[in-house]
Amino acid sequence: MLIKGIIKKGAYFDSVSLMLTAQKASSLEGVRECSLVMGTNENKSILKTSDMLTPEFEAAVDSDLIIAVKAENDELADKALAQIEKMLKKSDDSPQGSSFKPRSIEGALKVLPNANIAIISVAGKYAAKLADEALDKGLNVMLFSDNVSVEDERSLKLKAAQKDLIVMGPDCGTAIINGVPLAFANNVNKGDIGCIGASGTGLQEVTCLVSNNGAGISQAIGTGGRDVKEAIGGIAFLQAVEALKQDGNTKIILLVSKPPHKDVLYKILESLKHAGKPVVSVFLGGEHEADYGQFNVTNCATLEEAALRAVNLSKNLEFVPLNDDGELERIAYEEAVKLKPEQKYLRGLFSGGTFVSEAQIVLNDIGEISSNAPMGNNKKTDNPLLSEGHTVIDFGEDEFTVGRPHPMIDFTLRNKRIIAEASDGTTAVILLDIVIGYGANMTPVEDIVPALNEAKNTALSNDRYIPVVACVTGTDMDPQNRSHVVKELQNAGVIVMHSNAQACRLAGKIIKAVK
Amino acid sequence: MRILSFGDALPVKIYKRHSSFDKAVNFGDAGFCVCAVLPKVKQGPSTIVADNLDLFKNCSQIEITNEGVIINGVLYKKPENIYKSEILTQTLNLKQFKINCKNLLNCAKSTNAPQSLLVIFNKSLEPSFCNSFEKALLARYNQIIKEAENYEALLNLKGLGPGLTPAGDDFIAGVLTAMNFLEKVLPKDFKEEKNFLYKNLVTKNVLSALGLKMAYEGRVFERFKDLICLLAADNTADFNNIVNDIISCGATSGADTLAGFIFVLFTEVLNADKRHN
Amino acid sequence: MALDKLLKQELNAINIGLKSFQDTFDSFHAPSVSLEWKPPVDVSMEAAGIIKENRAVIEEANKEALAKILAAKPLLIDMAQAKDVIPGMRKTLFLHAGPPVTWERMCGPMKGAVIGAIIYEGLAKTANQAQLLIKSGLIEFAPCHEHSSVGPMAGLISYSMPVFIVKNETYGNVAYCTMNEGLGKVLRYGAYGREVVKRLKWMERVLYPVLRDAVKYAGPIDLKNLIAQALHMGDEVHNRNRAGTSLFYRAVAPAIVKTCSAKKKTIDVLNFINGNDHFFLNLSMAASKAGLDAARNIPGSSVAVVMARNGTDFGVQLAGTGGTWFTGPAEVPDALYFAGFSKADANPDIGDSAITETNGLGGFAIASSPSIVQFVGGKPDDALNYTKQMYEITAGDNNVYQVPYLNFRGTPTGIDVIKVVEKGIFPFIDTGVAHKEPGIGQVGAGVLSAPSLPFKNAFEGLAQTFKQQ
Repeated sequence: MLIKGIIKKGAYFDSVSLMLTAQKASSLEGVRECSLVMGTNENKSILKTSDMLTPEFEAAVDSDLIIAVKAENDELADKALAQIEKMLKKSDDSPQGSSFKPRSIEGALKVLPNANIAIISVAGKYAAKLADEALDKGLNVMLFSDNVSVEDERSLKLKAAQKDLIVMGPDCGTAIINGVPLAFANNVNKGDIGCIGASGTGLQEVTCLVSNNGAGISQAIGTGGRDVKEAIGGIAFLQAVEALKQDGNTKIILLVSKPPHKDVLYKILESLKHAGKPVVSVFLGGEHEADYGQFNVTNCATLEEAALRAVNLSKNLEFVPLNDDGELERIAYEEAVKLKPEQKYLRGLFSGGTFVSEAQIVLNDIGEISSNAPMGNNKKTDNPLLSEGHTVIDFGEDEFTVGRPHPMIDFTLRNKRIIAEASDGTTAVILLDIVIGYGANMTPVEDIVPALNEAKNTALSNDRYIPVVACVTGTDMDPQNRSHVVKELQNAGVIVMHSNAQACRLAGKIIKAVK
Repeated sequence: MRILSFGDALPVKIYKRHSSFDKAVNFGDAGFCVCAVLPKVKQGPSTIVADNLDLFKNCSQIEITNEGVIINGVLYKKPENIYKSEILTQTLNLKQFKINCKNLLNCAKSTNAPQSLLVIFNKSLEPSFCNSFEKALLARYNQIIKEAENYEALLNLKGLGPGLTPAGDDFIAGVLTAMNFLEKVLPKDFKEEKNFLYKNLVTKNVLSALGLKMAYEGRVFERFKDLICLLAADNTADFNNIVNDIISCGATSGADTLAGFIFVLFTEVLNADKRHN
Repeated sequence: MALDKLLKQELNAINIGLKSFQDTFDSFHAPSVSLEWKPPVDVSMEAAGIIKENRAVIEEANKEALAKILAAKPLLIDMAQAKDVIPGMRKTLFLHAGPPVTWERMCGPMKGAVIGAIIYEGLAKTANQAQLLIKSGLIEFAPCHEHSSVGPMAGLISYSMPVFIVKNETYGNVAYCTMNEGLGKVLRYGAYGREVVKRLKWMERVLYPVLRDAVKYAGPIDLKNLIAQALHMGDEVHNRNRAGTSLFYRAVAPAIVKTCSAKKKTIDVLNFINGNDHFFLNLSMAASKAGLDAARNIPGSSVAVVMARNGTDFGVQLAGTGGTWFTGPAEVPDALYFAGFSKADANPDIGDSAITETNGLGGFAIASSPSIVQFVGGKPDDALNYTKQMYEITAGDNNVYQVPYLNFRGTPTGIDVIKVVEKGIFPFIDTGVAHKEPGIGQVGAGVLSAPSLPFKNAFEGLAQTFKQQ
């Protein structure tokens, strides 16, 4: 005999339905007793006296409904609870749409009084004021807009924290809240891994890898890249850590960021010390040595490693480092033999900024790399429009995006570059990322395959072959469907890897095989 | 849709949708609540009675103005006659009043209102508390009533029991209503008791909060207004209909409120003589 | 737990900006609403701060302003010639619509109307003579609004012109307006030909005395009552005045027959009023003016008491800023143009008739007037939305003027400049459009948004008044 139950928040049922349901539920299979009462302290004490109180009911308040069943076993309890929820006729139908379009947050709240978040993607100079207004109205904010000043970001985040609200952003591209993808995000499995990301693409990659490897995401909270810098001090990041620590649905915490400022990093680590749940982190290109273990944190070098570690924790498996060396060596050798001796250089053309960082970390052993977003000792390209030696380009940098949509949406510039790289006799391998999901290009195959074909033909006419290695960040539940995209790319001759890190490793091995 | 009745305690402002049932749609704002109901639910101080609730069910908020109620931008004017929820002062034939109170009590005693707080007057309802939660609840009810040497002790009932508005909250609303009623007809003053019960009963349940606020302010719902008229009348009335009418409200809400109301009558009117003796 | 509101509740999102994000919410069945967002008016930080600080005082002042506007009782009590009643009227003074404007900056129709009025007053015989006179500096110009008056389109009022006298019985103040000349070649559209002056003379010598006697005989005519009825009959009393004119005709026709002994005059006068659907416009304007003037000089109030255009500038005055004009360029309206005309032919917005919108009528009451929406190229739903949107920028609902389709809800009344600026929603004005060349007349009609600059200036101007305290 066990007690099981649920708390229904903000759902109201009339007393008669409650009573009838409780009566009917008592006769369900394997159910000994059933109570449906409002979660007042007094009712909780009666539940306690009658041995019907479970620890989770403690969280219920006056306005919540507690459904408690005493049943023979877990399965029957779950079955009964599902039945009860069905019985509670939900008469609360949502308001019908009308053609009236609100022009202010105040007006929008009249249409949607239960709103709890504002997604703001207007020009930066207006964004801060709107975010401030949203906070005043008790809304959380996802600030997709960039070009918001550090001062504004700081004062918004402080204000939010006081009200137990969060400002995700500015320049926050990705979040998944309660299973709903916001802005650039993917449709991933629900699960027990809670993510916090100061990097949009990084968050997309880890959530997809988690989902594609059979685990799931509870929440993915974005903070915007600048949050972990000294000026902001990780206000949003720390709020998110606190929330995920307390969140019952989150069993594992996964952090993704470019290296935070030292002080911020320690603040984050300190707050994780007593998290009571395992924490996995990836600070891409982390410059600060920290004794992560002391803080209950497992730090990883790549997004892939971090995601897989989290998956194993979720599945309660021992972590075994991914060993794909043999397979990658084989593919690399098969590709390398098709290349001419002068084909020596890697050309990485990325739409996601975090992938550019990850590529430079994975490819740290192929020699000097130039980039328009260089890391460590790598060289800043003299001309981002022209490749020289090993080159990795972030098409999301300002020089490519002014006046056009993000490269994840508009492939034009990168497509041109793919063809240009194909006509360069020194190009040995082209490395790409394709990011799908909400907010991204809805027809990636149609948009990139013609450029790939033209590149192939250009190389062919010069009697060359150039391997193209890519990763597709996304899931089969995304509107573009990852499997479909992968298959079409393979048909176009692309070697598609599971992750960006893996694609980078393969590309590196091809370069080394040529040497 | 036609607005049939408008309560007299509807603060002018915007209310967001709270909950929606067959016969009632509730809208709330900061601890206050407006209920749009079908005629059979009857009138109340913060109630709007309409012949059809479809419009209320299909909107996310309403705005009460001096003119009426605005739903989706459209104004529905309030009717000429608004419902007056005040308890009127009246002169009383004390002897007749006692008879009436006694009749009401007897009527309530013989009424079948399972799992309600009327059980404190009617032991035959006890078997209707069957499962362990209900049994524990009954034990708690009895204990509180037994130990209730003064009204303050009734505060222990708050938040207790079944229903969207917990039975104990409804009971206390009934107590407050009875106190306000008796103040109008007898040389009595319950100011301290009322203040104690009301000020200490903080609830996040806006429907409970509304019932308590109205009761505290001496505003009564139509059914209780009818009951009060019968009680104060200078003749012997039959309480069966009105009691059945009241206990048909909600699952136990009506019965619980009535129990609180009768509890005060019992203590102040029927038991008073004994106390003096 | 931390971030309760976000993580423990179902996601309900307000989307501001990229529309595509809304699609995601839809496919996840997450309740959401997208804002029809527009950049707000860019007011100075200082002014915004002052206004925010004094918001409570302003709200109180606005309540008072609205109460005064709503309490107005405009009655048509009499008629007279401008020289005998309008304060400060002189033979050489010419009143015009909108904020102050010099001859050099006047638009075509305004210049034409001035010339016509000078000829009508006998100060010149030809247009050339009139222009010479103007250049000599002998002619003075002033806004009608500064002389308790209003005028449609060019809005010229000169010395001899007969005017309606509308008294706000509640507060005792008076407003004046000329009689409407009808359509076609008329002075208010800048025509100054022989027939225009001839009609004006007829109005002065025949129409005026007959109508004056009739008005006196019929007793004070309650214009608020007439307007309220007209709204129920499909007028919004700015661009459509058919019902208002009919009601007025019913009120005065028996009196005209009674008081005018000359049969021909009687017939001519009755036919003139009957033949001009816009005859009532000038009365709805004067009634609005009389009501709004009573709400002037309430310190701190951000409620507009004037919106007026002179074809060059758009001007706003507030209850809390005395006689100061806050102006910005009047825009060429995106209207529905009559066959043969286009936006290229149109003059920037002109006329004092936006006083009706300021008073909760016209574009603010357009939901009452489904037929006018068709005239300006829209659907009845658009009209409803125009009116609904105006509730977002007004101080309250009207107590007498109602929209039948909104179940007789009061029209949005008392434009609050702070709300206009903060929400970036500008008053809708339901208006006629004049040809930019004098004398051609109306070329289109439309529902247009007021320009932002005058409201920004008014917002900052109001903030200044707090600084001076």
